[in-house]
Amino acid sequence: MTTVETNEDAALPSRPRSEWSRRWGRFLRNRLAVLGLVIVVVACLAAVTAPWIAPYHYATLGPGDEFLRTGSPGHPMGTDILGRDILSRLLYSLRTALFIAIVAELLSLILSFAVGLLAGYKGGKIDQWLMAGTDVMFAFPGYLFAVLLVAVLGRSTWAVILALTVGSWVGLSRLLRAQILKMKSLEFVEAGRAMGATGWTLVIRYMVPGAMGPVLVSSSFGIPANMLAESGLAILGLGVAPPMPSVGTMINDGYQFVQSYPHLIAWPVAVFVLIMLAFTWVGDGVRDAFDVDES
Amino acid sequence: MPSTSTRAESELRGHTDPQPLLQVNDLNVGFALPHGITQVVHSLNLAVPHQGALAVVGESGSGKSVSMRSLLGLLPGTAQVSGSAVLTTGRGQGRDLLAMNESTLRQVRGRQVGMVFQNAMEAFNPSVPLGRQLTQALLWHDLCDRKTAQQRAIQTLADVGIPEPERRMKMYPFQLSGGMRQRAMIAMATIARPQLIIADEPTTALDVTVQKQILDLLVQLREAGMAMIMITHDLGVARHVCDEAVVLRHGTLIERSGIMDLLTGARDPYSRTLVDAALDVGVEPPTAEASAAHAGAGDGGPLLRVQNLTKVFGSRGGHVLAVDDVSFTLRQGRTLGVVGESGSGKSTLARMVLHLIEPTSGTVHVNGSCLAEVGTRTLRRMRKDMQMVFQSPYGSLLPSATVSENIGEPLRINRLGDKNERRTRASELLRLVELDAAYLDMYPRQLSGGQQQRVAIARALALEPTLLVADEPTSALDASVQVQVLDLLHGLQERLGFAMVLITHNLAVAERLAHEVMVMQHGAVREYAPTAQLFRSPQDDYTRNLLAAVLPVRTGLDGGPDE
Amino acid sequence: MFIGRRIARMILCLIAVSLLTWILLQLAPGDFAGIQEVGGGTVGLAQQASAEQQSGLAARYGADIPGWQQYLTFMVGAVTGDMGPSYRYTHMTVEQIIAHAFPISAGLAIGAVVIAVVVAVPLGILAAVRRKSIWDTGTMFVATLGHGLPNYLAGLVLVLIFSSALNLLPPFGWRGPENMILPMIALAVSPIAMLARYVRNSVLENLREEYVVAAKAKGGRFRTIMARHVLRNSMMPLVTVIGPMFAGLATGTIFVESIFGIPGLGRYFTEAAAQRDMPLLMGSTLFFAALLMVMNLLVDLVYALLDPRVRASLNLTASESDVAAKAGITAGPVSRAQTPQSEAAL
Repeated sequence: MTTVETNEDAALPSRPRSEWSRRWGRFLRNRLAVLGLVIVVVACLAAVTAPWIAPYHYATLGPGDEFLRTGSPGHPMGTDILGRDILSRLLYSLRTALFIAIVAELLSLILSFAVGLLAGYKGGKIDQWLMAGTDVMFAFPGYLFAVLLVAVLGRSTWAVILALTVGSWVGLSRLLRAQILKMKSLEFVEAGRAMGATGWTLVIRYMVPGAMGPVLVSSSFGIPANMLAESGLAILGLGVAPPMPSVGTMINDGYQFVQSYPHLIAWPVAVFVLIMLAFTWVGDGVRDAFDVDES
Repeated sequence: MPSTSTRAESELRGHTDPQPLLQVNDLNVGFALPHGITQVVHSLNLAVPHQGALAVVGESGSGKSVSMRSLLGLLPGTAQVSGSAVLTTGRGQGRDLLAMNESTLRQVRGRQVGMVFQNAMEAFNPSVPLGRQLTQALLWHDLCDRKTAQQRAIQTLADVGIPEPERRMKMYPFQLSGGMRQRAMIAMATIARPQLIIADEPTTALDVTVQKQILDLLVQLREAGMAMIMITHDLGVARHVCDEAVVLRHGTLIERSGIMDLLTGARDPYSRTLVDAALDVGVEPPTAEASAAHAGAGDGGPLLRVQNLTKVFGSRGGHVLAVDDVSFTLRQGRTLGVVGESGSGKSTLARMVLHLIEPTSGTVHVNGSCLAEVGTRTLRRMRKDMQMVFQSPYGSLLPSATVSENIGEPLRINRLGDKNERRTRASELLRLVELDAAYLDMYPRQLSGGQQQRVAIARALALEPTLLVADEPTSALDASVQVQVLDLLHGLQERLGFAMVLITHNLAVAERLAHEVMVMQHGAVREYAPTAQLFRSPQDDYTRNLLAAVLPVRTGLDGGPDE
Repeated sequence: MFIGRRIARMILCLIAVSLLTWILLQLAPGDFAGIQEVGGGTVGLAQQASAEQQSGLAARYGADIPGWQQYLTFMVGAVTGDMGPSYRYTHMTVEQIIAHAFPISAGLAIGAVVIAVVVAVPLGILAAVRRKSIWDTGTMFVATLGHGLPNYLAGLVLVLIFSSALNLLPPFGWRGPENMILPMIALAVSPIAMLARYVRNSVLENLREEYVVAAKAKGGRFRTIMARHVLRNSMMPLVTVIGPMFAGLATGTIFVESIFGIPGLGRYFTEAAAQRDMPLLMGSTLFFAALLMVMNLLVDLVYALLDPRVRASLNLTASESDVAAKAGITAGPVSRAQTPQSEAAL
C-alpha cells in the first residue's frame, strides 16, 4: 500500500471549529445583522428596565401639559392628548410588546415542537390527524383568528398572548414536520439507526439539531411579527387593556391629530420601525449563517 | 477496439502535426475570491490534432473541467483566464479563442466546438421540449430556417441512435431514460457539426452497460472525423475513446503521452499511482480468497442467513418490487459482494439485512436469531454486532460532532464507557484506520473524503461487530483513495475477522474484496457464485453483459495480464 | 379525481372553521338580545330596523332558540345563499354587506399586487443579472426595509410623510381616488420586498444551473438565454406566490382599513368580532376562508398546467402503463416492469 495520500491534504486544518462557532463567525461578518442585534439588545434592556429609566409612570397625567411638542423641557418626546410623557409611555409599550411577543413565540415553539416532531417522526394516523388540524387553522386567513380570540376572551395581556400563539404555531409545526421528514431520509440519521439509536434519542440527537436552522430563522422573524400583531390588535381596539400602553394604542389615540400634532405618532412609529428593521436584519443574518434555503 | 485504425493513424501523426486543431499554450485560470485570487490551473500546454482525441485525466480538484471550460469562456464571471488557445479549422489562420470578444466566441461555441456535459438531466432545461433545445443551436447561429432545423434535429437524433426521433422532439428531458438523455445531449452538441467536441465526464453518471453504449457512440463520431477532448477520471474511458492523454493534478500538467504509453509505462510517479489505482476486472490477484485461505477465517460457521427476502414498495402509482426473493448465507470472516446497476435493489437489500427497512416477506437470521422475531430490545442489543458503512462519507457523520465524538457515538448510544473511555477508544480506532490522532477534535467537514470514510469505518468498528455492511463505501472517492480504503477494509477484516456484505456497482471492487459475488438485476439475483468462478466463467447472460461492459485499463496490453 | 378530493377536503375544512368560530362565540358573554340593546352602527350603514326585520331576526336567533339550531339555520342559509340579516346592521343581509364591502378590500388588494409585481419583478431580475452591483445591493437593502415595514406600519410612515409633512394626501376617509393611494402603496410595500427577493433568488438559482452553461455552449446570446430559458423557468414559481399573496392581502387588510377608515370587509369583520355580531362574523369568516382555499386550489391548478413534469404526472395517472411504456418514463421510483423497456429502447 502506498503511504502517499495522493489526493488528500497532507496538512492538518489549523484548528477544530464547531458548526456553531462557524455560524456565529458568519453572523458577525454581516454588519447589518450585528447592528440589528445591538438594537434588539438595547431595546430589550430598555424594556426590562422601563420602570427605572422611564422619567414618569405611563399613566401620570401632566396637568395643563397637553400636546407638548418634542423637545419640551422634561418631556424630550413631548406629551400626548392627556399630557402623559410620550417617552415613558413608549418605554412601557416596548416592555409590553416584547414580553408578549417573546412569550407568544416561546409558547408557539413548544407547541409546534410537540406537534411537528410527533407528526413527522411517528407518521401514519397521528400525522394525518395533526395535519388535518393545521389545515383547519390555516383556513383562518391572516389575523382573523387572533382578532376573534381577543374579541371573545376580552382585552388582556394573556388573551393577546394566546391569540398570537394560536396564530403562529401552525406554520412552525408544519415547518418542523417537513424538516423531520427531510432528516429522516438523510444518511447520518440512518447511520444513527444502524448504530442502535431509537425513538427520541434519534429525534433529539440526530434530527432536531439539523432542523434548528429554519426554526431559528422563523423565530427571529416571528418575534417582530408578534410585536406587529400585538400593536395591530391595539389599533383595532383589541389589544392589552388600558391604561396599559401599547404602541398600537398610542397610534390609535394620536391618529386623529396626525396632521396637527404628528409627534404623537411619529415617535412611536419611528422607534417601532427601527426595532422591526433590527429584527429583520438579525433574521437575515441568522438565515445566512445557517445557509437556510429560502424556498 | 472499434477505433483502432483511426488511433493508429493519429499516432503516426502524433505531436508532429504542424498545425493542430487546437493548441493551448500557457493557460492559467484563477478565481477572484474576497481574499485574493485562487489559481486553479497553472500554465497548461496541450494540443489536439485534427480528428484526434485527447483525454484530460485527473482526479477531483485537478482542474480538468475548469481548464477545458475556460477555453469556451463558460466559466462564471469571477474567473480570470490567461494564455492562448489557437483553434485552426479549415485551411485558414488559427484564431485565439482566449483573445476573442464575447460575440466572436459565441460564433465558435456550438458551431465549431460542441460540448457534452456530465449530467444530461441538468444540462437540459427541464421545462423546454427537447426539439426546441436541439434546434436552438442551429437557429442561434442563423445556420438555417426553422423548418430545416427541425429536420436536422430529427436526423441528428436518429444518428445518435434514438428511435422514433419525431416523437422525442416534443418530449421533455425527464421523459427519457438516462442513456437516452445522454444521447440527446450528444445530439445537441453535434447538431451544428462542430470539428471538436469537449466531453466533460459524459458517462460518469451512467450505469456500466449504458456507459459502454454511449462511449461507442462517441467512438463512432470520432470515426466520422470529429476531434474530441474527453475529460475523465476513468482511465478505462480514456483508453476506449482516445489516443493521447494529459494527466492533471492540482491544475498542473503532470504528463503528456500516448494513452498506451501512459498505461504501460507512465513516466511520472503520480501518473503511475493513478494507473496502479485503476481497478481492472480479472487481473487483480484474488487477494480476498488467498488471504482468507491463509487466515483460515473462511471456515467460520454461518453468521448471516438470508432467506427469500422480498421487498415491495407500495405507492399510489402501483407497486414496485425492489427486492425479489433473495437468499444467501454468509460465514464468519467472509465477504459477500453484491453487485448491480442502479435500481437493482442492492441498497434496499443491505438495509433489510440490518433491519433498517422491514422486509415484505422472508427472513434474516444473524447468529441463528431471526431479526424480525427477536423484539426491539434484543434487536437493539444485536445491532452492536452488525454495523454499516455508508456511501457518502460526509453525509453519514454527525456534522455537529467532532471526529472523536463521531467515533464514540455507537458507544454512547449503547451506554458503554464514560466520556474519557470513549475518547481513548476513539483514538485507538483512529490509529486502526491509519489516521493521525490530531484529527480527534476536528469536525467531519474539515476532513477530505477519504479521511471521512476512514472515520466512518472506525465508527462502524467501535463495537467490534461481527458483521459489517458496506454500501458503496468507495464510490464517492477518487480512484487512488478508493484503493487505499478498500485495502484498509481488507486489512481490518483480516485482523478483526468480521464478515462483510459489500454493496457495489463496480465489479472490480467486488472482485478485489469478496469471497462470493451475487449479481442482482431489477431486485432479483441473476448469479451467485464464488468470486473466481463468477469472473472466470460467468453463467448468466446479464453477468456476461456486465463483464463485457467493463472497460479494461491495463488488461490486454503488452506485458500486462491477458484479458 | 385529484380535484374532487381537494374540494371535499375544502368543504370539511370550512365546516370545521364554522364550528370553531361558532363554539368560540358561544363561549363569549352576551347574546343577540343584549347586543340589540347596544345599537347604533359606526360604519354608517346602520339604520333603525323595521319591526318586520326585528321579528325575522328574533325568529332566527332569539333567546328561545337553542344554539345548535341557530348554527344549523345559519349554515343552511350559508349554503342556500340566505344568511339572513346582521345583528348590528339589521336592515342588511350578510350577503349584501359582503357584496358591498368585499370589492373595496379586493380592489385594494389587487392594486397592491399589481404595484408589487410591476415594481418587484424588474428589480429582482436586475438585481440577479447585475449581481453584486449597486442595483443588487440597493434592491436587497430596500427589500429588507420593506420586510421590516409590513402593512400598517408602512401606512403610518406614508401618512407621516405625505399627510403630515407634505400635506399632499388625506390620512383618513373613503371619498375618492386620493384616499386609495396611500393604503394601496402601504399594502404593496411588504409584497414588493418579498417578491423582489424571491425573483432575485429564483433567477440566480436558475442562472447557476448547468443548462444555462449548456445553452451558452450552444452559442446563445446572454439575452436570448435569459428570455428563452432562465426567465421562463424562474417566473413559473411566481404563480405559487402571487395567488396566496392576493388572498392574504384581501383578508389581511384589516389593520390598514382600520387606520385609514376604509369600509372594507376587514373593517366589518373587526366590528362584528368586537360586537359579537354572529351572522356577520360567521359569514365573513367563512367567506375569507373559502376565498383563501379557492386561491390555493387555483394556484395549484395553474402551476400544474405550467410545469411539464406535473402535467406529465397527471397524464401518468390517467393512463399510466400506456404512457410509461411508450416513453420509458423513469420519473419516480423505477419500477421493474418499465425499466427493461427503457433500456431495450436504447
